[in-house]
Amino acid sequence: MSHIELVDVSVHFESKGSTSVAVDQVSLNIEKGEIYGIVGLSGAGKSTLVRTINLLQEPSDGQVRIDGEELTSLSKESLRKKRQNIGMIFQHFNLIASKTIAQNLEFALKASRYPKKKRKERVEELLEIVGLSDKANAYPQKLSGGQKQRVGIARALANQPEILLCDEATSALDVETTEEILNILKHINQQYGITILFITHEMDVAKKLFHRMAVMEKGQVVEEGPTFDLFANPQVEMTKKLVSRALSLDIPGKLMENLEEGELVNIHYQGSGAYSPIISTLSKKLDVHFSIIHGKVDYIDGRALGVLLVHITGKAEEIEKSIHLLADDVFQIERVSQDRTVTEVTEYECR
Amino acid sequence: MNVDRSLQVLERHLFQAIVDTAYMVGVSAAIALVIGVLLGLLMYLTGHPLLIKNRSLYGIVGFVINAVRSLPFIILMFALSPVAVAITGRQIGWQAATVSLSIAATAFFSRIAEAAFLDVDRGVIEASIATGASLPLILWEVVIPEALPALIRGISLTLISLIGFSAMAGAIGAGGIGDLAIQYGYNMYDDVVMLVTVVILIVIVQLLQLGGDLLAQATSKK
Repeated sequence: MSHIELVDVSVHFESKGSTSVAVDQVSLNIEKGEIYGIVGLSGAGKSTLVRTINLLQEPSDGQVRIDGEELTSLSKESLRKKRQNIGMIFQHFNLIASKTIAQNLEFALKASRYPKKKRKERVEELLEIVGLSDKANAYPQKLSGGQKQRVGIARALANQPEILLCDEATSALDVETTEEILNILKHINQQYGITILFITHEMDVAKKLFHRMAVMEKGQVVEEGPTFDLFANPQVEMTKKLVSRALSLDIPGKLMENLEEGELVNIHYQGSGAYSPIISTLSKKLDVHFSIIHGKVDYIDGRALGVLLVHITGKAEEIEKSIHLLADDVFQIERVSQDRTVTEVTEYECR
Repeated sequence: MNVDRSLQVLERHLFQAIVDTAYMVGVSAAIALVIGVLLGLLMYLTGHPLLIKNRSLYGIVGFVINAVRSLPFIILMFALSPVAVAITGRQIGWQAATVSLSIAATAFFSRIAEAAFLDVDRGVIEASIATGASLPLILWEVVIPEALPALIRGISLTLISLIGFSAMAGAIGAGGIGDLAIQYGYNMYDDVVMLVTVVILIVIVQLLQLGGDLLAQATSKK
């Protein structure tokens, strides 16, 4: 049994007589203790989908189950209890402006009728987890975005939930602060085994945080799988688009014009292949020259994914040979045509 | 112009006029505050998709409030005169006027209160719901404290409108500062009385506005 199960969940919005479909028959299984991401462009229905999990958004159709328990059929009171087990953080933090940081956290404890005498202690504990012990009596207005989100995380953790929902939780933060928040999330995922469901349009976040992910487009999940696989070998157009942008593999057109002879190939390598000296071995073995046009190694969910754009010069048959030898050693190799507008790709069978 | 006569009029009537206005405005504002906040809250809760969504109740309350608000005060006052008699046993005087003033002010303030509640960040309400808090807890700890500065501004706005309304209450013999201005200042061409009452009204309104702003600022943490 999965921790969170969505079965054919749809959400329709009715306005002025017309119906729009925000989420269209989405089924997902999210396992206990994993960090699961949902990516997509804005308007893809990600936020609406995540909000069905704690019923901030009632699904028009389908089932939402947590530990096998159907949420839509719960009584108001049981739903309230259930929600205490599902923390949530938001893009705009959503802290109570008229309360201090400590009071904001205390509110969540009051919600679960946490024993009054122990509240102060628990608040201190929570502040410690997110490193804000010195801000207990400050008002949210006085905090930076990153600090506000840390308060948001502390509030979400107040009642020791098993699930943490993150709705674009880093989208309002700068790169450095995002990194900081991601590290806290990774830490609490490992430390407490909390299942995290994270919605974002930022592929950089996906790369660093998610174990598995789903890609949404027009309310539907169009692709799903381990994060590394989706980055290394995307299947559908939307995933390819998102991934290529994140890996930034665009080749400047000017550069293509200057490469007159030889072959331009795009090499993808991964895992242990990332560390073997493929190029230098080949250039010793064969009479070809390699010049590296563009290269990048990305670490996705802790695994290396390398992309190398190489220009090979030499005799035609030697070049052919080298390409075939390369194909044996790398994950994927593509021939890039000299025509800079059309990038023709020839795929080889790779090991 | 006979300044001595004007001073005589002021000496004889001004204090009573201020007391009458204070009674009318004070009592009706107190009633409007309590009932208006409740009605505003009722509209907010029944209109909110995640709280107590109830479109029909929302519609009924909204309709009644709009109906009261669509009448000019002077007409409302005459229309409600049987109600005033039933409640206070009087057809005239400040007590009778207070009935219609209370009703007009309640309708006015309930809309202001609703707007103040609606102004509370939706995201904050959602976050509170997501923590699993009960409705009373969300009301006491989030909705009301977050709306407080706007509510306080609304109270000073309502008090100021009430002072304006109360001037018309002179029409049913309710007295008050406005009545003094009309009776002596306007009808009897006593410019001194007119000037004095105008200055007093300006000062009162300025003080109310200032007090409301300061209090709202003090309660706001933004």
